[in-house]
Amino acid sequence: MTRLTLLLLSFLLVSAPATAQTPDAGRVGPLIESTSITGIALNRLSPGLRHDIDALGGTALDEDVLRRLAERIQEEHPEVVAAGRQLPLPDGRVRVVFLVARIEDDKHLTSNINARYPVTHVEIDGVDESRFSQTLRDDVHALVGLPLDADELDRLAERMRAELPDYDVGHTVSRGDEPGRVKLVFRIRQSESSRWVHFRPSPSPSKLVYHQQQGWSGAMHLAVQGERNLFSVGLVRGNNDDLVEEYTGYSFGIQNRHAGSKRLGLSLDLSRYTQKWNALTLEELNRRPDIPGVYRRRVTIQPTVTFALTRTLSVTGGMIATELTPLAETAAAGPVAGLQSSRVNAGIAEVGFDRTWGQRSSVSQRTEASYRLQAGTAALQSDLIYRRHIGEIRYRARRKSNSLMAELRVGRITGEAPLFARFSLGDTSTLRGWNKYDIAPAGASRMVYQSVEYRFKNLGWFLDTGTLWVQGEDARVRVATGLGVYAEHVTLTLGMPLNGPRLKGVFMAGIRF
Amino acid sequence: MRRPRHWYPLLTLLALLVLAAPLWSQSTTVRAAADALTVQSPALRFIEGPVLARLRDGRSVQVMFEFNVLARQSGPTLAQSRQTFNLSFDLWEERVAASRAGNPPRSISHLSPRAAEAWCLDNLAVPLRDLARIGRDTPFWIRLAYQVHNPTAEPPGDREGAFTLGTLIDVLSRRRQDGELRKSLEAGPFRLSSLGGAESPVPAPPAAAAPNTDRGAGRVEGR
Repeated sequence: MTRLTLLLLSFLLVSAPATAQTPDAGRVGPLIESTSITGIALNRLSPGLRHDIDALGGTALDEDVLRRLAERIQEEHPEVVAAGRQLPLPDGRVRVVFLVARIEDDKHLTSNINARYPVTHVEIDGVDESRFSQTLRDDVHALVGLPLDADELDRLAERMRAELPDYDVGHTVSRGDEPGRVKLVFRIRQSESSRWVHFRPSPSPSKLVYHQQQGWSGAMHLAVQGERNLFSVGLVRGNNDDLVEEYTGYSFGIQNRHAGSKRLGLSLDLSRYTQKWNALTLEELNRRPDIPGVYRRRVTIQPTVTFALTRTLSVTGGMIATELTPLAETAAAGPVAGLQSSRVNAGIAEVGFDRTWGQRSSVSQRTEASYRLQAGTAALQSDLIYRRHIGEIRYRARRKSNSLMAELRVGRITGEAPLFARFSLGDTSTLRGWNKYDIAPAGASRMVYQSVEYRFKNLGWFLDTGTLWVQGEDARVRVATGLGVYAEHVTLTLGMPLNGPRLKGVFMAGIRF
Repeated sequence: MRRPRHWYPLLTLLALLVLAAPLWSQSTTVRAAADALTVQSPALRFIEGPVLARLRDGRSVQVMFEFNVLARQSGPTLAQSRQTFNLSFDLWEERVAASRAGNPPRSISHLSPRAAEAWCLDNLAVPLRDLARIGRDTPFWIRLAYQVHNPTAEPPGDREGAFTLGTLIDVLSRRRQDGELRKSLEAGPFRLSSLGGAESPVPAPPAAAAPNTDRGAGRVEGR
């Protein structure tokens, strides 16, 4: 059966009387004068099916009966498609024809079995149609009435991408309002890479990780994301994987990446965490009274404004207002004096760069770089006056099963920074194999860290190097290497300090999203 | 200070092994039918997740299969068959249609996803004449690999760090964000002398217990 037959089949579908297209229970159709089958020899059908088709002659037309008989033909011969159609005769009766076509005889059917159905509705979703040229719009709407043509859909989608290069174009086909018809929707969405302002990742991304020397950490970050807005809720349980402190609590966030302009984004984050402190941290604080003390609760509000200078370069300004509840002297805290101050308010200024190359080519690369200044000042009624500088560069390249990742972080703090702002290395993602409570249990005011990792399929090898120190002390460089197994979101890592007191592996595992 | 417990690593490993157990529990059989060697692997499911979602959206999916007969486990290829199948889903009859490209082309429709998977494997045969240099009692292995192209509508976006409800659903339903899905398995050892007839796979004990068998424990290496 050729495309011509399919067109005829579709024409019969579309041109059949409307009353006959929508079965109406109880309605008596015109009498059937005769039945015939084209496209398959009658003797290839079972005797029962042949009998039932012959028995239609002289009965009233029922679309459901025709459909069931066509289905029986297909069940007996799964290599064909079949449809029962009616041809009106001058005397008011109809002739029923079962059209049968071998799938493999038609390239459109082999490409997509839905090519047997005519398109009754075409819609463009996501952008106003007027953004496309008149010629393209005409060609899109010309699909109505014709059998579904997958190749033509691909060609039209490609033309749409050419006219709106910043958009992703997909299409879905679904059942039409009437049996045997389909409707088509082109879904146009702005591609993430073409956005001027990107949603910021959560400071506590979802994870459940285990560190042999530090135990478990858990965080769940759920976000509902629309075109312009993102609402998020975070739940954290015993997370000691990011900071010097171990914290538990919750957070809320709202982000808008199109605040009146595609270049302007707003965000507001609120969080409330309670803290636990490692004994080594408390010991260190006893030894170092110059470091601001511990606290038992940290409540933070952080409004920011982001302005995109280009699609890859943006600046962010804002404030981080933190209220710390001093830790009452307890047996756990011992003689350590809790933090006397309760307000830590800092201004934020950040420059960020994020560029991705070659997403559609064999080698995709992404580079992220940022510099961030966080300054606690008396002008913001902060009880702790400090400046925290941190610069980061991350690079990632992928080619087939190979990935290469590199990272560099440099940080410097002056003044009296609270513990949550101090630098820390030696967890499940930095200096893997070292224990941060052995390196700098109360954090440090200076940091240099780099990491290189190569992954092939599910296996990875990494080399982490970093140092933490405080002003006036010598910086000791620590090196770690190890292997990782990465499957879906599950990670198993064995890290080993190379210049530690002894060569001993540290096991880490986790699920990250 | 909270002291980490030493049984945590063991507990984690145990949990991971339990999660991964289905990967080791799949079995694969081969049979000689009409002068060709075919493979059956009921546990090798590729019409599910993002592939099925794409099919239900009325779009087609192309799956490329490669069936290799190996001299030994992970060894050199003795014979090979490659086929590309085109799948689509009849929106009104809610059945899968499959077509094999090449010569001769073959097509079928009105299949359940499982039946369509089996049909694809049935149409992926290595001619027995290509195995003539293998002795009838010489053990051989098979490697079955497939690759699905473009199972997702849009290229993956930059969603790192944002664990959205969508990604939660993806994780729970084991959906992937990758542009491609592929999987491969190896099974063996098999022997030509113990292969069954055209219609009946020869039952046999597990490969480890009886090397002279046509049934092996397939190890699925998923990506």
